[in-house]
Amino acid sequence: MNFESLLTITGNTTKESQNSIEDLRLNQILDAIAHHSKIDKNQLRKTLYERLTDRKDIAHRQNILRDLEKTDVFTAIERFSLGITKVFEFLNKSNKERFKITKQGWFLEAVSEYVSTVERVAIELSEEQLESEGLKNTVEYLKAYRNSQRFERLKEELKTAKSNLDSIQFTVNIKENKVFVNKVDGEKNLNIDIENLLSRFIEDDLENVELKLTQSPVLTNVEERIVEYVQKINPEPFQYMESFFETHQEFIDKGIRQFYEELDFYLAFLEFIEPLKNEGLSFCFPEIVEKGERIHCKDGFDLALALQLQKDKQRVITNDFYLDRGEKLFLISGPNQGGKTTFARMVGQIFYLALLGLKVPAKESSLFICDHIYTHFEKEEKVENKKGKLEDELLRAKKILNLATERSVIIINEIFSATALEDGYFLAEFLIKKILSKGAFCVFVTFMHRLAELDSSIVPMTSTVEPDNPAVRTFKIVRKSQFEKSYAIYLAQKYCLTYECLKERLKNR
Amino acid sequence: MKVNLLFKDRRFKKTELDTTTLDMVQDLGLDIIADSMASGDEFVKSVCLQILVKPLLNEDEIKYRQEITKDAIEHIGIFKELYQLSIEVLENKKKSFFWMLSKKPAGVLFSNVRMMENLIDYLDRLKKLAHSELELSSNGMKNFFKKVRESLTDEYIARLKMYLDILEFKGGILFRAKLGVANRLDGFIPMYREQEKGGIFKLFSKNRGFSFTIDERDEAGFKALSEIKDRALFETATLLYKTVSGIVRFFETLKEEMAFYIGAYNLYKTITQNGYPICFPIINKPFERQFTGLIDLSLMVVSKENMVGNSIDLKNKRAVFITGANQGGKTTFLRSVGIAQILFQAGLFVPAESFSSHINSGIFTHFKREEDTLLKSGKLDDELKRMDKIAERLKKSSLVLMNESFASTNEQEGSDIAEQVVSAFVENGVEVFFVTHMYTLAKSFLTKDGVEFLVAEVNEKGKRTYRIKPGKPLQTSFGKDLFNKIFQEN
Repeated sequence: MNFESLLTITGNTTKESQNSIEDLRLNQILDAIAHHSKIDKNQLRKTLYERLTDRKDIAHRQNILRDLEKTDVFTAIERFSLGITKVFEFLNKSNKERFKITKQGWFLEAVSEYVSTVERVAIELSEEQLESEGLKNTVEYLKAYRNSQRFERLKEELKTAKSNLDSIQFTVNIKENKVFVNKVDGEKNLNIDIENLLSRFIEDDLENVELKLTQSPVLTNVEERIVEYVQKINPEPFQYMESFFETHQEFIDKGIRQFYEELDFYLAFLEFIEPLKNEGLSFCFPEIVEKGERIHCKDGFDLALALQLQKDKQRVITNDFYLDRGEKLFLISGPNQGGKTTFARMVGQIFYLALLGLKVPAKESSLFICDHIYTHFEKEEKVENKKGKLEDELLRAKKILNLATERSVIIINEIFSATALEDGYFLAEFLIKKILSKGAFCVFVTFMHRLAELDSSIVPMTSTVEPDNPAVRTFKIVRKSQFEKSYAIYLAQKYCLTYECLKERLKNR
Repeated sequence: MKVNLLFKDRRFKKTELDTTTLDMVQDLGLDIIADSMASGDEFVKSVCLQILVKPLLNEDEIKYRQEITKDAIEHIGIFKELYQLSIEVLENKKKSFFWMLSKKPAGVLFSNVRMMENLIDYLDRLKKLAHSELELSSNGMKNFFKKVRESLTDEYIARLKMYLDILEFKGGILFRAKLGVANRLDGFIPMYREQEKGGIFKLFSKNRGFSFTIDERDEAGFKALSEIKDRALFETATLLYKTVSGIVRFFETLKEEMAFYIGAYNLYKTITQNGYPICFPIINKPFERQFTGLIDLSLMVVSKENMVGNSIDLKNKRAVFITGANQGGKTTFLRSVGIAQILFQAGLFVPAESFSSHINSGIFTHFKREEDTLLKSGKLDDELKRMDKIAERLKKSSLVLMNESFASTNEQEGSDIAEQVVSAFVENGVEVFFVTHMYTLAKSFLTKDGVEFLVAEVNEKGKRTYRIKPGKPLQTSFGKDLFNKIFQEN
């Protein structure tokens, strides 16, 4: 039986330009996810920079991720992954060790972890809990492997080897510089006796003493000699261990290994979003719709900014948007430093992450599969003169217009801002008309708010300030509409001390 | 072996006081009361303050403490002796601190065995105090002494000494072990061989097995050896450490709990010497509150003037509005209600002729702040913030004492917010005492059930009596007569 990939069905992927990736700060996000790899950060990074193009593949990954979000499934899979990671750790230790009894000891630990990990996952993961084809196939594979003769034999022999070693008991007596190793001979347990004696003084909540216990990371010479004497007292278990070691060098199954490696993508992502979720941020599976249908997003946020703010223990502001049929372009204006660029990045990030088959930073979202995401952000490098900068901007704009199709997403941030206002309007108007005629979906951030009047398919949006204090940005980007309230009640509401709010708070006390 | 003299079944735990509690301490003057209880002993003060701000929530617990408080008033001597003994133990432990420097199991075990040897003497003294023949009447004290006598018998102390001797390890350290992870030594259990007839421990088994010797110059070998010893003695060291900590904890607890009752005794002395009555509160039905001659204790401590006691009789009231003349004793009255409730739920007596009340699930204060450092808008924000923190902790039958709350904004807005807050409180079983000059607010509750109105009394001549009596709010505040007094007398 062959193991079927959890990452792809068709094998098709494509890449976005490095320019788009950086403008959208996707590099920060993808690298942060890759950082959570338990196996190989570079390999995972590579997977994250290749995004899907096929609806089937997106559904394949989304379904697997959905399954993994069920607590019982996740627990089972996470334990499996941690288990196999441990297997490799133990094997690595075994390979490095020179003292035979320890070398074989680590090998035994590796096999033991492997056997119990495989058995556990085969029990804990059942088809009834699963909806994804990907994981259902995996379960079938796991069951077949667990019942195979090869695995049965490994398990049996391991059991014998371990219980042999486990049954050995001995005493050690250390007096000054002499060490005596002996068989057990009727000695009494000191701890049990004094615990009985002293328990009346001990309470459960006493602070525990922080004892410093050093242990040499490798087997010491003294331990080696003690263990050698233990072997002399009781040689048979050690002989069995040796032959087990020789026989089972290649015990890891290929399919198990691939399963383990492909899980990394999903587990790293889930681990990555966990702390953000705990801060109250939402992630959702985007609904994939046809191009031209209504797309929307509720409580979306700039994931790169959220990561940055997380370090400062701050919470990112979320934003909503929707684009109805017939609407094509968000024209975003309003006060500076009001979250416009952040909003634009958020849109691009949501598209990209959806195309990885992952969840997106929003409470709800629907969008289409785009062919590419093109970005045009203001470059901050030193430009010799205005003409040079404008030329560069125009060249980049032209390139986008050449490549973009009806299925593209175009994100333009503060274009032509350094040129004379009249020129700026003229150029921007030209650009917008071109984009509209292509039929692409565009987010256009600009201070030239009059551009909104060009066409009915343009949706004007604005960054906002607090009604009472215009100096305070809300970082909310909204379709133009607002409302205001009296100050005292506004304040009382802020602390949830109005009658309705307070009554709700106190209801179930 | 436990102290359990503040609670029948648990130890009192000190906590950092949060801002809501600190506000209450300030508003009711609880630190002044704690000072009076301390009579110069800072430790007593800190313990008393901690206990005052954590009200007991059930009848049995209150009665349990009331009984012991009565014992303390009768037999303060034994309380002081126990307090003194605890102080000595803790000082001895402090002196032995240098023993505790090692963090390694073998070292920790050694120093704790020494410490145990010291502590045996103190346990002996405690045992003797527990045998002293006093006519104690509280269940708490009687049980405490009974348990001490049962735990510390002569036979037990002899066995303790025997095991401390085994822990000297005169024949070296002996332990059982197994092969653990990757065949390293594991599962260490220290063992001992039983005494033979002659009273000498068998040092070695007859079966000698294998042995080897570490060369004197083999430093790594000795290090490895001591690592093994430490691992073998880990549990034992933990046990001895915990035992010593347990005994020290016992005396720490004893010291704290005695401190509270010594504080209670001091307070009793102060009140009675000032000529005011005390009484032990009676636990009443829910939302019933009756008292006569209640005074404001924190004011009594700082002022030498004669104080007017207040009396009220409240049945099934959720909200009490106190209005009337400025400086007519409204705040003093509000404080006296709060302090009495605090003392009652700390298991103490109250400064009144008679007093009965129900148990509040929490006691909170929301007093107007005088500071002018905040802008007007900042003040309202601060008031709301404090109220929000209180609301976060309110439960059914909590008590909130409000003093000119929400007066930092105009009367319309202030009474609007206050009405919403009080309504939500009352409808959810929270009890409110509200001193206010906002007629608009008080008026809005005139027709509601379960609301009592009190006023600061003014006699026929227009003079304040500093008494609080039942009475409906009046539209004009008495600020006018203050104005008259100040501007016309001069």
